[in-house]
Formats: sequence, C-alpha cells, structure tokens
Amino acid sequence: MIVVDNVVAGYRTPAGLVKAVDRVSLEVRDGEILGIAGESGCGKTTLLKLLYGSFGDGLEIFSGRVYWRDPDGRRTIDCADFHRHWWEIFSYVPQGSMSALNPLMRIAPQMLDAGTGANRADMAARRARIARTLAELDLPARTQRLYPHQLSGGMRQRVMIGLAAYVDPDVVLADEPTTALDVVVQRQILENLVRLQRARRNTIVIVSHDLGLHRQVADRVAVLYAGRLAEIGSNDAVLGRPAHPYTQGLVDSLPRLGDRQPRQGIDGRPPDFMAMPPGCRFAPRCRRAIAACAGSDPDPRPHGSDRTAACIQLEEVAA
Amino acid sequence: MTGTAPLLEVRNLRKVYRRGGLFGGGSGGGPAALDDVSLTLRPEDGKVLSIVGESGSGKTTLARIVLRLVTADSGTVSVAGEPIMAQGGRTIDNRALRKLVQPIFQNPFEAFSLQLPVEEYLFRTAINLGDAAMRRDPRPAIDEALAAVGLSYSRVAGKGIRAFSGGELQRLSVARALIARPRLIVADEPVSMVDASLRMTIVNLFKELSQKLGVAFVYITHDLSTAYYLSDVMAIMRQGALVEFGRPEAILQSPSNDYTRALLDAIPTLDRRWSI
Ligand SMILES: Nc1ncnc2c1ncn2[C@@H]1O[C@H](COP(=O)(O)OP(=O)(O)OP(=O)(O)O)[C@@H](O)[C@H]1O
Ligand code: SF4
Ligand SMILES: [Mg+2]
Repeated sequence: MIVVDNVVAGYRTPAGLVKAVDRVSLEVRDGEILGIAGESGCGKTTLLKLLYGSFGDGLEIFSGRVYWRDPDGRRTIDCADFHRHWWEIFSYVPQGSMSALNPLMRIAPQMLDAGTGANRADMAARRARIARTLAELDLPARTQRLYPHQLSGGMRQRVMIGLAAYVDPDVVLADEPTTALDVVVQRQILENLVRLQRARRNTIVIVSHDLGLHRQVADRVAVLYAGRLAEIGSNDAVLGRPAHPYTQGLVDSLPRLGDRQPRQGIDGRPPDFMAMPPGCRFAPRCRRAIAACAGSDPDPRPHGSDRTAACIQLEEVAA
Repeated sequence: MTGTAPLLEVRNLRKVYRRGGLFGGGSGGGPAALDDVSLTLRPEDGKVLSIVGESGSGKTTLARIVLRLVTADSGTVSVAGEPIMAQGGRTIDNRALRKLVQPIFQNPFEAFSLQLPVEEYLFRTAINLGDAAMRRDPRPAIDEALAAVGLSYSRVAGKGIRAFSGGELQRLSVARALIARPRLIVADEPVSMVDASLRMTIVNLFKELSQKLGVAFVYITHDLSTAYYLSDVMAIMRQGALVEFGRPEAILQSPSNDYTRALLDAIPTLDRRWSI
C-alpha cells in the first residue's frame, strides 16, 4: 500500500510556490485499480510522481509524508527511497510516453535494458517474460525485433505498458496511457491492462481526465480540484452517485450516447495556483455555494461507507 | 443563390497527399485521405452536421477542403449554392469565401498570438470582411458577436490570451467567426483541448447560435457523444471513406457496419460499464 499523508508538494517557480498537491491524504490499496481524475493542471501528474518518488523536475514535498508499506506491515519505504525500487516495486508509464522509446533500439533490448535496475533474474527467464507480456498485450511476436517507428501509436503505447509491467512490479503508475489513441484501440488497451492486473494481482494507478474511462476500469476513483482532493471512493459512489458539487457538475455535464437531454458545463474556470480563492477552492464556480464556503477550505470527510468528500454542505448537497 | 440551396454540398471528393520530401521522391501517393466522399446538408435537415472519425479518417482533410485550405484532387464543394471548389468551373474569391464560411480550430491558444490583444483579431475580421458600415465603425458588430457568445467588450478590451481560459478563448474564436456573419462555421475538434467542465458550454453555444442566428455548423470531432448530442445530421468516416450518413438516432439504432458498432461499443460513457 502507498500512503499519502497530509502532503503539500509542488514546485518553486519565479512567480512563487506552486502547491500542486495541497494537504492531500489518501492510500493506494494493494491489488486495486485507483483512478485519478480532474481537469488540466489540477495536480494529477504531480500526485502520480509522488507515488513514484520521482523528484527529477523540481518537485518537492513541503510537508507531510508519502511511503510504501508491505502487505504485512513490517517494512516501510519512504518516497525519497522509492527510486531504489523502481521496476521491482514501482513502475511508471509517463504522460505522452509514446515518444519516450529509444528510436535507435529494437523493442526487446529496450525492454531488457529497462528492467536491469532491480530485477536481476537471468536473461532467458526475462526474455520469456517479455514474450509473454507482449502476447498478453495482443502484440505480435515480431514486435520484439521492430524499431519504435515501425509500430503504430497503439502498439507503441502497448509496448510502454509492457515495459512497465513485464518485470512484475507491485504497483504500475500510468499517466494518461491512452489519451492520444483512438477509442477502439483505447478500449483494447484498457482491457489488456485490466486483464494483466487481474492475472498478476498487482496495483494500478491510472491518471486520466476522462471520467468515462475511469468508470470502465477503476475500482476506486479520486477527483482532484486545484491541487485539493475533492472526493475519493468506490467507482459506483464517486461516478454513480457523486457527492461533491464539483464531481456532480462534471458527471452531469457529460452527454450519454443516445440521450439528448440538455446538459450544462460548469461556468468559470479553475483558479490559478498563485491566486487561490479563500475558503473552498471550488466556491467561485459552485452552484451550491453559501456564504460560509468562502470561510472554510474543507478536508474530505466520510460520506457513507465507501467515500470521503470535501464539502461543508455534504449532507445537503449529496442526495 | 441562397434560399433552398443546400447549406453544404460535397460531391465526389478525392484527395491523396503526395509523399514528397527526401524519401518519397515526390511521386506516388499514399492511401487516399478522402475516397469519393459525397454529402449534403439541406436547410430542411437542420443546421448542424457532425463529422465523426478517428485520427486518419479524413475528417480534417474534408474540413480543410471546405475552408479551401487544402485543394482536393477532384470533386466539388458548394456552400449555400456558391461554388467553393469546382472542377474547372467558376469559384468564388477568397474574400467572398471567408464571408460565407468561417473556421474554428482545435487549439484556441494557437488561434490568437501572444503578442496581440485578442480584440485586435475582432477588429481585423470586421475591417477585412465587413460591409462599408462595419468597416467605418466595427464596434457594434463586435459587441453583438461578443454578446452572442456570452462575453462583453469590457471583459475583453486590452487583454492578451493569457487572461483567458481555453473555454473563453474558444468563445472568442466563435465571436470572431460570427463578425463575418457567415452562413457556415466549420469547427475542427473545437472542444478536444477544452476541459470537460467547459466543453458543454461551447457545444451548447453552437446549438444556441444555430437556432438563434441560423448559422450552420460543421462539427468535426472524434467524440461521438457530443456529436450525437449536438447534431441534426451525422457522418462517420473511416480511412477516407464515409461509412455512415444520416440522422444520429438512426445511426445509433441500426449502425450499418461493423466499424460503427465497434466505435459505439468503445466509447467509455458513464452510464454503462464494459464487461472485462
Ligand atoms: N516541473 C514543473 N515546474 C513548475 N511547475 C510545474 C511543473 N510541473 C507542473 N507544474 C505546475 O503544477 C500544476 C499541476 O500540474 P500537473 O502536471 O500535476 O497537472 P495535471 O493535472 O497532470 O494536468 P494535465 O491534465 O494537463 O496533465 C500546474 O499549475 C503546473 O503548471
Ligand atoms: S464547500 Fe461550498 S463551495 Fe465548496 S463544494 Fe461545498 S458547497 Fe460548494
Ligand atoms: Mg498530467
């Protein structure tokens, strides 16, 4: 399990501190698929980098803690040391990663290279695992001998997932893994990913701005708004019966196929990290806002047995 | 030639992009980007035609040909009876074309430059495409266009693109297009870069403008759900060919081929879950 405990994290920029993740607490449970949703710039990628322990691009934890704990609770690893366990415990499919493959190297040697950090099983066994993983992702065997430019976008993205998964890590962290792809290919890849997860019983965290995608694959869903956790809980709770006004607004705005009932967007736009409104960050756009909302920046609290949500009016707002 | 002429008529369009450059040797075509595509939006069909397709389906090529940003190899296009592309025949000049058909592009941030205040684009359009009265005093037309998209001149004056969200910039693109008082607006993936919470504001704006101002829309998208929501007539394209054309309800109820069925099944909507 990965525990995020009251974390403030982000970047120092010339304009000031960007707290892209602000007082966020959540856990990533063993064996689950956790979906992270929210609009552009709300902190999804930053949160995922924390879960991977990737501090290369100026990301800093200002307060709070992120750590991993093994299933029987005997061993914990702080996120500052996650990098020592990349591939073994954690692997990462970065956003826009289709272009991250080395263009000069065939697929099989790239995959072999990638896993060498931690997992030193013998070459023959690793080659066999690569072959098996590629097959599980519906890639033809010849893929191993091809160069990246000889693959379609969908194939490349499958290779990226294969790369993260073949070493059998406990946790796969995937950032918008299908966003650039056609929906038919997207569906195939997501099905591959879910089947792989069921077969190997590992944990997947998947970041996507697409709530419909989370509805299909996630066990639990977390919704971020302007660096804060708005709501987290079971798929059915968060996407089927959303409790937070922001989640409600998003869910209501999405058209369903075959239904032309008028749907409204949410007026306004997310606040700038340099100019956060006082109190609840969603207040300027919230249809349910009352005067007290500007005076309180609520943390999530339980609502029912399978979710928490950050709104002072939960009881009134959630049906 | 307005009245009962089709709002948009596309006949037998073909387009193959030549593979130029170092390795292509300048000869030999790739696969057809458009392979004998014909479609018509008549006034009695409604005002919004959606063209749905995945990347590489040819939908953007079709849009660009209607806007005359790309030349077709063969075929004809007319808007409200005016010839935009004709085989050897007369076509209207560029200024007349821009008055008739206006574009809205995918990335609202690229539609305006960082250097110029956005109002500059509104004035330019009014001066280039307006009639004598509008050229003399562009403000009334600009105010009217901004009001139509839910903005006002005072909100916009003196500001650069950084002062606006993606959704607001996309509305400004629509306002700019409206100043020309076009018969048709061709919008290529206008909401794919706009956040989900704002997407429906833009889509609803198209619907409202088509009803209130009577301007027709060609809505190009990969997103079948918004296309269904918005359109009176829907086309689905695949690999340069038109695979479906008709009323959205009819296509949804009885898709005419396997590709449409696969597409319909693959849309991740909130009201159903795949069995994996
Ligand atoms: N390396 C960086 N240095 C400075 N600021 C950054 C950096 N990376 C992200 N940010 C800022 O942090 C905030 C959150 O960014 P993040 O990438 O986590 O958002 P996101 O939810 O993943 O967005 P998207 O959906 O667009 O990928 C944004 O305001 C962004 O500009
Ligand atoms: S706290 Fe107030 S403003 Fe914030 S989401 Fe709840 S009702 Fe809306
Ligand atoms: Mg991101």
